[in-house]
Amino acid sequence: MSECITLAALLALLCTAFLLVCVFAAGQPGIAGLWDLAMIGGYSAVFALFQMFFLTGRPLDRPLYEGRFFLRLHEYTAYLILLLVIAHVIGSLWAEPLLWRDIWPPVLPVMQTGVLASLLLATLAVVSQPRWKLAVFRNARIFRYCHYGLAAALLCATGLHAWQADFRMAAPALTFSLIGMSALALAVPLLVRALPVQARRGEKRLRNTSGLAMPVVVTLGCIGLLVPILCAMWLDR
Amino acid sequence: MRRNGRLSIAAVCVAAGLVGGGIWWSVSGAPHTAQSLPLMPLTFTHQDHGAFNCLVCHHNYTEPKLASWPFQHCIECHKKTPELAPIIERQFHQQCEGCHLKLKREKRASGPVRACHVCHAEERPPRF
Ligand code: HEC
Ligand code: HEC
Ligand code: HEC
Ligand code: HEC
Repeated sequence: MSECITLAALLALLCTAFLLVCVFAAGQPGIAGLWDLAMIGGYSAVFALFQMFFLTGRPLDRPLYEGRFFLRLHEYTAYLILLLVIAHVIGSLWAEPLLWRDIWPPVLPVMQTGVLASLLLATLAVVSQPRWKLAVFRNARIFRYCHYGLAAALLCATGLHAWQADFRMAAPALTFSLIGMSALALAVPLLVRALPVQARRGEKRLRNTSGLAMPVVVTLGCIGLLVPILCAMWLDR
Repeated sequence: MRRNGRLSIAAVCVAAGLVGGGIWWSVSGAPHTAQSLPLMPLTFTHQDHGAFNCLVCHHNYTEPKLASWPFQHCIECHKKTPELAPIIERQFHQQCEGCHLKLKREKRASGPVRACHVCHAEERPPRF
């Protein structure tokens, strides 16, 4: 249980730090409650996406849980992103229904990347279903390459979308930190593969721990919602 | 194997459809589309902006080469000139929202930055 708390705390810390930097360092004013909530909620989704490049479903040494735990963690985080993106889209359209005009052709560049990112996310969510992935991809190796390729495209489209919105990311320091974090996230899965495999220690992986993935992701989701709410309240106080 | 083959063909078709749709979506910003699109309604009043020099916005008053252009009304010129029509939104948002944002960050009286419905409300009669 303690490792589980460590993991959750780690996710929480990273998520909060990133959001706080985004919101406060840029020094931009608040716009309106629901609008800010929806927009900062988008950053929660970006951050959860970064996490998926670090927790790729590969079993880690700590916590020493069974492999299924890490797979579940990866899968459930993806569903969390899906929910956050739906909330981001519905929330912003609810706050400003005229936004339809930006999505309808001729589409603003920021909306083009936004739509592209949501399409990629939907595609990934469908073709990566454990039940279907081997029906779509010939074998696990091809799946891994395609999955990484699509995910990398998704990350780039999402980062571009956040940058093109040109509001909370307007400061050059934030733009560069976004680029740096994207590059890091893209490199991590490749680096992990390139590193030599460590010799197994005597300890055994704890069994029946896959159920713990759910509480971790729910915690992440709660933080991903709470931080935007607090930020929006602070900005529009 | 046969089933897998058919499924991957279907996947490729879906992917191609998505890519094709994306390309159509992107190039649909072509001038003719942008020009035939209805204007957004605009509630702009000169009363709110009396503190500024006319030339801040009416840049054409000082540019002699624009004096001979067929359209002299601010929005008409930007909407009916083919090379300006596709970027009217970007240019006007840049100018209007940029100034509002700058003033808002200085904690001064200002207009909307992202609130579409404040600028794009039903037209009030012009009050200048
Ligand atoms: C903040 C920017 C801004 C400032 C400052 C400004 N205007 Fe305008 N003006 C506009 C816009 C935008 C329109 C078009 C409004 C519309 O069509 O609803 C316009 C329209 C007009 C029109 C109608 C015809 C045309 O050219 O579009 C006149 C006349 C005019 N302005 C005069 C002035 C004068 C005189 C001043 C200075 C005292 C001034 N404006 C300052 C933005 C501005
Ligand atoms: C007679 C035609 C004409 C009229 C009238 C006109 N413009 Fe323009 N405007 C232009 C052209 C042409 C350009 C492109 C100039 C350039 O790129 O140097 C332009 C550029 C701009 C830009 C972009 C400037 C930049 O630096 O990127 C803005 C913003 C703008 N106009 C706002 C306005 C506003 C606001 C009005 C009315 C209040 C207005 N214009 C009236 C022709 C016009
Ligand atoms: C140079 C700075 C500047 C530019 C450019 C500018 N505005 Fe403004 N705008 C202001 C200021 C300042 C106010 C607040 C006036 C007040 O409340 O006394 C304002 C107020 C407004 C309001 C009223 C908001 C309300 O709450 O009623 C509207 C609408 C608006 N602007 C629309 C526009 C549009 C449309 C344009 C572009 C054509 C534009 N503005 C360009 C400075 C600017
Ligand atoms: C500060 C005022 C202001 C705000 C806020 C604003 N706009 Fe605009 N917008 C304008 C002006 C001015 C134009 C150019 C004249 C026109 O289309 O009426 C324009 C043009 C547009 C156009 C292009 C219309 C065309 O003829 O091609 C679209 C689409 C648009 N806006 C959508 C939005 C959306 C969506 C939002 C909210 C996210 C928004 N605007 C917020 C001032 C504003």
